[in-house]
Amino acid sequence: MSDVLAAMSARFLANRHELMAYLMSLDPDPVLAEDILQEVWLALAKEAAEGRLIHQLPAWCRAVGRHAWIKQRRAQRRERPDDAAVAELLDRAFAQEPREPEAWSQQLQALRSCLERLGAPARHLLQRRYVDDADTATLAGELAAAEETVLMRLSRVRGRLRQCVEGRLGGADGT
Amino acid sequence: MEPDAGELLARWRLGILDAAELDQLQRILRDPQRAAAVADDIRFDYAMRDGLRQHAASQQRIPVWRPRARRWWLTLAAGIAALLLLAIGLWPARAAPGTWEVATGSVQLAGDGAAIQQGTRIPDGRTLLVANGPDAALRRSDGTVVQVAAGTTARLAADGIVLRSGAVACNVVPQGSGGRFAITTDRAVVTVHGTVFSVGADAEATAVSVDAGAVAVERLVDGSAVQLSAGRGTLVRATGPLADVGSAPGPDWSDRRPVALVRLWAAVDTTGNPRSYAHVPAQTDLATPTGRAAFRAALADEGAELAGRLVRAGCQAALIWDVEGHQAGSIMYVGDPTRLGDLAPEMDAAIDPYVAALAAAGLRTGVLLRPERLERGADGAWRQQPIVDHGAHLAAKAAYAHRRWGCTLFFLNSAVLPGRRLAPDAVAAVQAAVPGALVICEHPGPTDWGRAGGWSIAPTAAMDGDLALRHPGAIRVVYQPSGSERGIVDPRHDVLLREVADLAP
Repeated sequence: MSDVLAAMSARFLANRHELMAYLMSLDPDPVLAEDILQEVWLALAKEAAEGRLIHQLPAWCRAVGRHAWIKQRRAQRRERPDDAAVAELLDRAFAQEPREPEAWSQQLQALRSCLERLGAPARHLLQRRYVDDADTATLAGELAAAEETVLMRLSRVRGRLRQCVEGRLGGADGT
Repeated sequence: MEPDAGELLARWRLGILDAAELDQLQRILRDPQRAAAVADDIRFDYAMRDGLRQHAASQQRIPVWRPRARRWWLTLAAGIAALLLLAIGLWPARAAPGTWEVATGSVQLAGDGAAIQQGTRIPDGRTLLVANGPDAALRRSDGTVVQVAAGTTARLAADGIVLRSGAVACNVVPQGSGGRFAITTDRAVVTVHGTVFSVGADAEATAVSVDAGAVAVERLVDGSAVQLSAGRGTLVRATGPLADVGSAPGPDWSDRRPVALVRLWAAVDTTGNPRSYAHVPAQTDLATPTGRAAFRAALADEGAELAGRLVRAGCQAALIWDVEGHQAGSIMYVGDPTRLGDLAPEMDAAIDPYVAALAAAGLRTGVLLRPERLERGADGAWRQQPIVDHGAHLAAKAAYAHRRWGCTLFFLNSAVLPGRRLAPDAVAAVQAAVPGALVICEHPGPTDWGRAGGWSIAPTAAMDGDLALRHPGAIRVVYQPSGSERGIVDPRHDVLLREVADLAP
């Protein structure tokens, strides 16, 4: 690997969470997001091969990722008229206060620690919803509860988790 | 997160927002403060997913990835066992039956650039890049071998390879009933059942040529298809018919006299001579009118003298290798005479009498052509851009050389192409632009033999027996270095001449 590519790859890796978060705001399919992540790296490698340095790397990565996502949707005939506009607005939202790699690292650590402190049922509920992609009706069936109840529980657990993370990042125990 | 914003975004992703809701979402995102809060919530949700998976992994419970239903209120299918998380891939990649490993060379994984060396298995579903350097070869568990040209990006798929750009050459073992091996590009799907073939792809076209066996090629945009057998090829563009191109008898190749390979470049002092041309009088500054006039006169004299030597040596033609000179720091063998004025104005002003002298002596003349697009970047540097659909580019360059100098001999420099394979219609395009042209292919493909001569460096005139059987009209052009700029001194020369003469019909 050339020095230019190695340097840019290191910055890319350091900023990958910011890019993945943006990509998953466009489409919840994690496999697609991973595919696009690789596409962005390939575009980076091409720039590096031609000796071109990218200075605003996070913004550049989001732009390349956005175009790759739109291209994918077009190829699958799933493109909607508002795709580009909303994707652009989300990009601007991310650009306002970009999160640095160090901040990501701290948040991820804090979150893992807070997850350990959650009760198993609460953690399981989050797992089923946010990793297994179970919809509200399925969760309601599993919990023998109404869908509104499931939504309320999710909101509450998520809120507690967020409070805990903010507390840890703020230096106090927020639980 | 404002519940409204989060719910609206989730519904947008699912494609179930109505117009009023879309408007509401866009208004929220246009408000900087609210948009920042939305982004923050998105980041938190992502981090939460990451934390949950890490937690599950640490509990030695393999996270289950389930296919996501399009309609969120339907129940999901049974889970699929996920793969272990990769260093960069935070989410499980698509599984691919059949395992791949690197047989020779090395490949880089897109996303982190990790290098996979020879003998190592390639993680499923990853996109690969073969960096500039030696080609690589991949071997699948069923014995299929795929050569991947330097500069190629490709992804291993369940039933073959998705070729993003570049070129692959495949030796596919018979797949058996129900088996399938396919190369998919942006434009086409090439399905095979056990054969030897090549596929090259870029954003504009996909080129396919078959050495042995049979393949089916289907254009994705409209489903039009063609079946190709050995010695046939096709070029898939966005529109237009899918032609079945094969080798065909070319112009008369019965003249077996030598072709002189002429180099205009020499390892000389480049002061005043930036393209390092030979035959520049000492202390001549080619940037000045006087210098250029002196160069033109010197080159004209050289042309006349060279013509005499080549005629006495029994040559039929002079093939000029490097009329554009050595472009310092970037490109050697430019192969684009249409750019002579931009790249070498001093030669542009001097070359015509030189070539005219050769032609006046009864010699055919020719130039080297490169199947790439020469472009000037924003930094002012010239770069060659590889293109799959290069037939028209080559034809334009050949037509220019023919109009200006009467050239009827062309060397196609296919070594610069990924996979070293010309487009199936490239030779035909040149011969259509210059009827009767003799074309020499540096690396002839199955559709080139017979139509053009195949370049060979082996020091023998005999045709490879298998090649002669597969391509009865094949012509081989043997390269034999002379060892001297001022005359033919290699002792093998006479022997080779006799061998070639003996083989002539």
